[in-house]
Amino acid sequence: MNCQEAKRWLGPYCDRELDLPRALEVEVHLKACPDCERARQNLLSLTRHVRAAAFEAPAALRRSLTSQQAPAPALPPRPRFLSWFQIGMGAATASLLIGLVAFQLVARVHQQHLLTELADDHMRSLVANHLVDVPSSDRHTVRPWFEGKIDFAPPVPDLSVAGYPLVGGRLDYVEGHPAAALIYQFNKHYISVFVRPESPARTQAPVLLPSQRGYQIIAWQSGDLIFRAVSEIPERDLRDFATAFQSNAQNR
Amino acid sequence: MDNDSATFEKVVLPHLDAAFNLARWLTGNDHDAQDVAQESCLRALKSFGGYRGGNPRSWLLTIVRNTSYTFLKRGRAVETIELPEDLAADESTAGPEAVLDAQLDVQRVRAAIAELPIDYREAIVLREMEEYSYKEIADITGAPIGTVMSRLARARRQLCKLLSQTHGDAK
Repeated sequence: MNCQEAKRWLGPYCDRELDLPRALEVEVHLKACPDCERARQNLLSLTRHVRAAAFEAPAALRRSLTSQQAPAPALPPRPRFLSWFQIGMGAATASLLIGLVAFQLVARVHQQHLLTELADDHMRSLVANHLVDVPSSDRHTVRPWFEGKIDFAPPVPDLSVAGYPLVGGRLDYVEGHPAAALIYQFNKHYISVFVRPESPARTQAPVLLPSQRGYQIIAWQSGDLIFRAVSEIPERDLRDFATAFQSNAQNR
Repeated sequence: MDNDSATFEKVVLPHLDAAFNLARWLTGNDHDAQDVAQESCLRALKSFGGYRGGNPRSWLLTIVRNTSYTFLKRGRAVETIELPEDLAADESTAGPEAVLDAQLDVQRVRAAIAELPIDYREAIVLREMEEYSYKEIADITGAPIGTVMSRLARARRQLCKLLSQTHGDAK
């Protein structure tokens, strides 16, 4: 890749919009070319400046919207037999229900996108034969490899004794954010574990999520990291893997 | 409390800053931005039934964008966007980058963003401030992804120029 090409891809590269092979090409070029590396620094600095220039909603606007009663639909003449209290309770219940339904809807659509994306990421890595960026069964090689590429440190437990040898690590993207992908093997199958920071920090035992086109997905959280494992192995086996991963990562 | 206010406070209000920010950049001043943001929130509330899921912030910002453009059309002609010749010319060659200072005055950055044509401005606001992906920006603005990409590239180049140019002048 020459400078002209690199400059062309630099914006999308910084925006994490490039596919992995091209992102890696840009990365290789940046390491070798101080000029383009300076341009990258410049772009990052511009992003920082622009972000700092955002406006916040004035307090008065927020107040007026909070206190403002949302325009209520025209009410039918009030039936005499209902007390104000009953009407109030009815309205409160209805609004709570509407809120809940809306939220579950939003959450469900959101989760569906995420699940499809995870299954796609896993499948793509198999199809494109791009399983790992750093092939190694040694967790002491894989863990440091992520340093400087992502802003968190994923645990890389050794699960070979439990029957899941480490294959390597890969940089991937989940919901537009960089994620660490750890690849383990189980019999002849691969398991991708996507790791992302998550707040608030808590501990959540593995939960199976709806499977996507034959891929099982399971999620768990340890502290401020959330883990999502994807594989074609049966649910039961994936659950065992997740449990082994979570307990071994904690004992690290 | 009525039926809508719980929905409103939970789904719409958390994104008020984003709504105001986009309205502020599209309309160009605080007063109009407040009007547009307020109207957009109320519209969002009324049309909640038409909401088909997805990211509520994107949905609100799409409404803010439409409201802003309607507002701009009502008041005055929407700015036309003509790419200055020199910018169009240096696109392919992408000459040496002007180096930006690590510290820049917020007012100066804001002035530079305000100088961008409106299409570039909204792309840069959605990307840099709201951290949307190209696909999401394309969905909100109705422009193809390739167009989003080139608007961003041009916006950034123009900003770099403006911000390194004004440096040392006057101030």
